[in-house]
Amino acid sequence: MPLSRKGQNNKFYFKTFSGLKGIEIIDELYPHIEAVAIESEKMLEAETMIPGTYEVICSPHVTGLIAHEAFGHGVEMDVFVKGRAKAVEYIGKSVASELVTMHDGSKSAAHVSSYLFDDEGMFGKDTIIIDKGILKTGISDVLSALKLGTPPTGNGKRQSYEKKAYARMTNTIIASGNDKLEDMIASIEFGYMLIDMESGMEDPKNWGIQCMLLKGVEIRNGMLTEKIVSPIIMTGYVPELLSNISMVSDDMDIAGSGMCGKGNKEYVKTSDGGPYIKTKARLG
Amino acid sequence: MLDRIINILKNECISDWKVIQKQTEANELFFIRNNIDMPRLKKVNNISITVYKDFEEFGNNYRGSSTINIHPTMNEEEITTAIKDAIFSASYVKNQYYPLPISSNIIIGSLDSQFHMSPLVEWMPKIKDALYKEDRFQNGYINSAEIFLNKNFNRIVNSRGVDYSYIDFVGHIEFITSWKDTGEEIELYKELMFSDFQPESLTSASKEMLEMSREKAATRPTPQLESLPVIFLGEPVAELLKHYYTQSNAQSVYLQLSTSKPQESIQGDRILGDRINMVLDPAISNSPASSPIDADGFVLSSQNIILDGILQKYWGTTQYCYYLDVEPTGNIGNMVFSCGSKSIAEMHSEAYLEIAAFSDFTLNSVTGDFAGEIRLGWHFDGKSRVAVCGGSISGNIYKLQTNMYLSKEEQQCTSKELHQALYYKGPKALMLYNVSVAGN
Repeated sequence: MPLSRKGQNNKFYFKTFSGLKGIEIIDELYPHIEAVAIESEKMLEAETMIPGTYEVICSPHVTGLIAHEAFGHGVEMDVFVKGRAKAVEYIGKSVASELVTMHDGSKSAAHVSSYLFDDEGMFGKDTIIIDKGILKTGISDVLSALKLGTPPTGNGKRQSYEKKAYARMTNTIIASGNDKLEDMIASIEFGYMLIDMESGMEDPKNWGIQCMLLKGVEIRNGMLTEKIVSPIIMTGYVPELLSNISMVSDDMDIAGSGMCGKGNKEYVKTSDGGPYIKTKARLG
Repeated sequence: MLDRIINILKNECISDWKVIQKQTEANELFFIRNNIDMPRLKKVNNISITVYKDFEEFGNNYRGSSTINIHPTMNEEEITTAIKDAIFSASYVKNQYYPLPISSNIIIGSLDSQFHMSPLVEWMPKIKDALYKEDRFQNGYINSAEIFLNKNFNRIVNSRGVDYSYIDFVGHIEFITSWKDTGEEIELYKELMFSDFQPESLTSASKEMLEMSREKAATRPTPQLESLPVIFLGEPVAELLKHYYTQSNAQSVYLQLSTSKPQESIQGDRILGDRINMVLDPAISNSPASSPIDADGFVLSSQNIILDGILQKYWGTTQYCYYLDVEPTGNIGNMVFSCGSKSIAEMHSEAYLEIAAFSDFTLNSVTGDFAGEIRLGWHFDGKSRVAVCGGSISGNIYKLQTNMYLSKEEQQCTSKELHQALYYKGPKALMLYNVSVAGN
């Protein structure tokens, strides 16, 4: 994460590296250092986002953040038991564009939250949460599954041996589609490519979403411009955001360098990602 | 076990060492509505060892360090092997040299708390009763709660004669309040941390959240607003003012994350609003961040850091204060900010947007950028006050801090920080101008 400074203007940029890997990750990092430093300098020219609703293309890491906050936390089934999940009313119903299929599971990808069995001894699975826009199921630990009369999905995870197991996400991804990124950019007259994520917050009861993003690049007349905006806060109503998805690229990239909390505690490793998606979003 | 570890360390060829022992006894209760879903008890003994290895390269002195955890079942041979591995790792860590705190004649004691008076298990129903005391509304209720009460025995020993121990208590509650009137049921989240039994503060917190939930159930979408002052109320104020805590920290300065300089304004030039005053006090009652010493064994005392917007001195650990060639203050987790010139009623004298709950309010202290999605606020257009939610606010503290007003009313609350308890005592409300609002 290089910092850049010009007078009172301080900016930074970062690139993360993660996976089921060891020391080789250091070798992967080296070739990117100069480019990340240059990006950090470019961030000094970033402009402030003018609040509004825009057509946007989300990068795979932003797509992953949306998946994680929208129908990741929202379908952790311990919140079903507590009556906190709006998702309960929508099982079998449309919650997203039919271009959207979303997975979670230790077997949904080979990444930082892949394992043979969870912290309660249940085999890891690949759970399809949303299938072509239809909400199919949630993800659960053993106790939640017992109370709900549903099969456990191998999502019982704990921060350490000292902690209780909760229903937690693993590798959460939106599946790739058939569109090409260049066609997606070409389809936008005025909007933004949203590139890097910083943090997010869920709202399982009322389906709000907050995504803090580091960088956006303006799209004008179907082409990326030189104009950068930073930072960006993306908010909205989850089904609206997902229903507005009109193009899904054939890419796939997953990131797992961060930690996921439950409330303000219980930090565990998760990964999330997906393809580029085109939707409409409220940006500030 | 600590004596065995220290004997092993004394026989190794290392420059310095530090051992931290934390024995935790915990009671935990998980509630759905007001019924226990799961009780848990915990008793664990965590010991960590840090070894320091000094070396010289091209005339420069370096100090490498490595930290390992020792498990209670490890035998002497396993501990020795783990320490030797740590020494090997430390020899590759190339930090500038810094000294460890040395022994002093100061006697430290355990922190005052009613929790000393009886076993943890006897406090749990009292905490639950205090939290649920105001859970008596027809349309609103506490949906769920998690209550944790930890008793920690802490001991720090180092190779420079430091050997301090004390007992502290950390209480932690997370709870969800829900409300349903004619529309959709809504919920709000709240986290509380404490170190003493103050039932009235727990009761008032849950009552406040239930009342806020009632207001949220009747909100309208936040409108698109321009040129309106924004009043931050409650915990977001702590997150905003924490910026000055971070900017005055020696580590932030050393890493060039802060350009603050002593005897200069930390609040920018031409200040029109209230000036910041910040004291770090390691002994605030009921704060889980209160501590007689820091994690290096440095004995803590109250420190005046910012006076009338002027940075008086940096605060920080022995290591980073040594790097900056300033007196160390140790790592203090309690921030105390002086209250300001306006009452909340005075802040309400003109049109405003007031925000009491965000999805997740964040401020990046390097860039100064802050933002958050509004979960509950009020818009006053000069005639009527309407509860609002949705949309977001954003701004940059470096651009807005010169015209900032602090309330006369005070609050105490926890400030979110990954893996470290921070505690805030200071203004309950803060008003900024020219904050960007993304409404509907």
